[in-house]
Amino acid sequence: MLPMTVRDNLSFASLHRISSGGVINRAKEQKLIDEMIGLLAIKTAGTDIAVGSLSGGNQQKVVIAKWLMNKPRIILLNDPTRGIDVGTKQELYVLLRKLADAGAAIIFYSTDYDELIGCCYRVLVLYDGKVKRELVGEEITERALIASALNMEMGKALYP
Amino acid sequence: MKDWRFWFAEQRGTFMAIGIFLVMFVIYSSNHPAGFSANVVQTASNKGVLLAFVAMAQALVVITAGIDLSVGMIFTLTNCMASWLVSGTPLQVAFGVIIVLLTGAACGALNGAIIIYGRLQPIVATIATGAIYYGLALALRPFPGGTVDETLADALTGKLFHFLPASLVALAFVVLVVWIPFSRSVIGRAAYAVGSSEQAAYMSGVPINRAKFATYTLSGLLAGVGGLFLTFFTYTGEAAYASGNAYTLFSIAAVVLGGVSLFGGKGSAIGAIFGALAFRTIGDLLFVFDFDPLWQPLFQGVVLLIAVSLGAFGLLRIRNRLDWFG
Amino acid sequence: MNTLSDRLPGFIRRFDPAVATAFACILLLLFVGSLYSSNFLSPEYLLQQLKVASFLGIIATGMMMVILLGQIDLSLPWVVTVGAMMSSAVAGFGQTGAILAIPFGILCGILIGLLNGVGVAYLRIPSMIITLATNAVAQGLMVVYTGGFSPQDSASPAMRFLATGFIIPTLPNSVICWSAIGAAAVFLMTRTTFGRSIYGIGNRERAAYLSGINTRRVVMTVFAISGGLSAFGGVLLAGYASKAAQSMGDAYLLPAIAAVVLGGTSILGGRGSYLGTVAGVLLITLLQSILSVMQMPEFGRQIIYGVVIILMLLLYGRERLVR
Repeated sequence: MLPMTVRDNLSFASLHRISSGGVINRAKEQKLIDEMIGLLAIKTAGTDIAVGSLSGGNQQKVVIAKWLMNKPRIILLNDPTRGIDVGTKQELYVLLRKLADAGAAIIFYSTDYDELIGCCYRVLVLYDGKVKRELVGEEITERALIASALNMEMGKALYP
Repeated sequence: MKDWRFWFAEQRGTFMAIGIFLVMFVIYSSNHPAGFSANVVQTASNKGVLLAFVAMAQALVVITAGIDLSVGMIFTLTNCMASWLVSGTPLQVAFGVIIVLLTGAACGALNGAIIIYGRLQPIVATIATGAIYYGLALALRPFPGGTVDETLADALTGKLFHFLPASLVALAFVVLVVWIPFSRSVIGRAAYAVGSSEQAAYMSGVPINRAKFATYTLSGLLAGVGGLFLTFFTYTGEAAYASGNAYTLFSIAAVVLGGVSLFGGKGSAIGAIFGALAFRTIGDLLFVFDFDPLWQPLFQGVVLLIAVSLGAFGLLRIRNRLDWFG
Repeated sequence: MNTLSDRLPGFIRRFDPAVATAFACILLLLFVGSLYSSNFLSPEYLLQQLKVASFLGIIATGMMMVILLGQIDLSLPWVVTVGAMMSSAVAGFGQTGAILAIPFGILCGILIGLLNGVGVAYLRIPSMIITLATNAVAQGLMVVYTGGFSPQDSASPAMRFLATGFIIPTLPNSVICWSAIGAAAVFLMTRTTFGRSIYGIGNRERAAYLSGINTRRVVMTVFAISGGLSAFGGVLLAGYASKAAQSMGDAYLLPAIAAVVLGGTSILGGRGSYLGTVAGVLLITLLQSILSVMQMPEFGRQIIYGVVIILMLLLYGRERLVR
């Protein structure tokens, strides 16, 4: 919701946490928001400016922060770093690592191989609606990923 | 797959409207005390054609994802103008008709200019211009009155060859001369594109402003034709606020019934015409079934409610909840 | 980014230019009015204006909430009339009737609003067309009820008291009603999750839905509130005139929409403040009364009315170029 403020966007998914009986507790809201901005290092001139004036990467951080405010135990991410600058990508990876270490389960969908290799313990490759292959730990290499994604058997490369 | 299948699916809304109209009309004429006679068809046609013109005007604008809440007032204004100008020698009459039509077009052009170059939202801009046009109409005709050339009026509201209502012929003529060329031209195509997605149209180099301007101007022209016809029908000019307002709202109803999407980009003026005719026929159904005329507004309202709710059945086909939202 | 607007102190930044322009125009109108008549600026006259404005104000509050959602409520004319007629009708039933009159009128409005709300929220029917349809149905019902004649019932004493009485000397009751409703609306809009949801839905319904808001329920409730407020406006109007009248609501639809929009609320939704709506209502009321003080004939009033709205919209209602 681009014309709305950073504050409004951040608190949207967790309104029930900062309000009682429908009335918003401004102090609680501010505290949680400040926490989130610190946690994700969102670069913004203030919480009352329109979210549309932030950079793409920061906007994505706002969206992620919005849901993190709920302190979720399971996090589903769909291509969270698409179209974001490298610096912000790094910050996101560090954050996800922190969250995982703190006990959250993160399911991460991505088409960026480097991301998958760098971040994940396990990778499930889907093809034609079914799980084609499960790669764990050291098995996650670019070659393995591409081969599974294209439904080719390992070792039977087209060009030797 | 054959091409005509695509075309058929595209025009589904229009065909539904035609279907509804045919059903309604069959019920109407078979129950009419005078039966399916030429006179019955003529009266029905005259009343229906009035709304059809206004509905066509509205359809044009709605296709570009706009709305024109002043069509009823342009209708009223041109009616009042015609009651002053369309009489006298044949030359004066012809001149009067042209001036009246130009007024309608000018009103439409003003709407277009304000919306395009003033960058105002169509809803509010046309509410305001509607008030202006109504004021002008009131200035022209504070009290109902005026005259109109009776031979012309009778010719256009009478019958050709003893059975074909002249008003229907006039309607068909206008469709042929205005709608068909428009819908096949680049400007017409551009109008659909603008209604579908203005941003995508802009990125594709479509002449957006020209398309919108042409649409609003033509819409005013069509409303003007309607006003002219009202004068032929009633022989007077009257600045009736309730009537103008009703025509505006009914035109929106007719447009929706005719399968034109209020979100723009889909539908055709022909569907709107049948929507208008169907709407009028539904209103007259009560008279035919000898119901107390007191129930007519309620009946029309309920029918309208049901008709627009029918569109909701498309919802049952949606499997992904996100599709509910644009 | 160190733009000028970032360097201004917070409260000035939040000051909507639209609202400021609206209030400036109000001052301008007051000035023009005083040129025509010396007692235009007198307290009695201004309070009278406030009283007349309060009816439009209450109705416009409901309309504002609907417009904030990005929708519109064209059933206003006959919901107002239904509120007036139904409450007057019940008022005629003796003692219990007099007590139940006002709640019953409001309830009728809420029911129609619910019908609109269900249609828009759950059946995804465009609000413009379903509110048109409910307007027609409401009209039909009232025509049947009154038999086409002017309604014979008159307003209950409570209604008349609310509309024309004075709890606080010199401050009309209806203004108190408007203030109370306005305060509640402001609280709702700014401090509750419901209010936030309204702005969110108006901005982008999809995003609000994806953020876990029950958008359908919010939309339905807003339409119900709008119906209730319109009906309450009708109840007060009936109290003011001591009876209801056919088509009494027609004169309030366009002014309500105009008031909301002139107050800086975007017709597309998601943007606007109640202060702006108050300014818009005062503006429209003043404009209408100046035109009658000038003894302007009806056609002139309509033209000026339209021209003024367009000019004001051109001042601050322009949309940004979508490029």
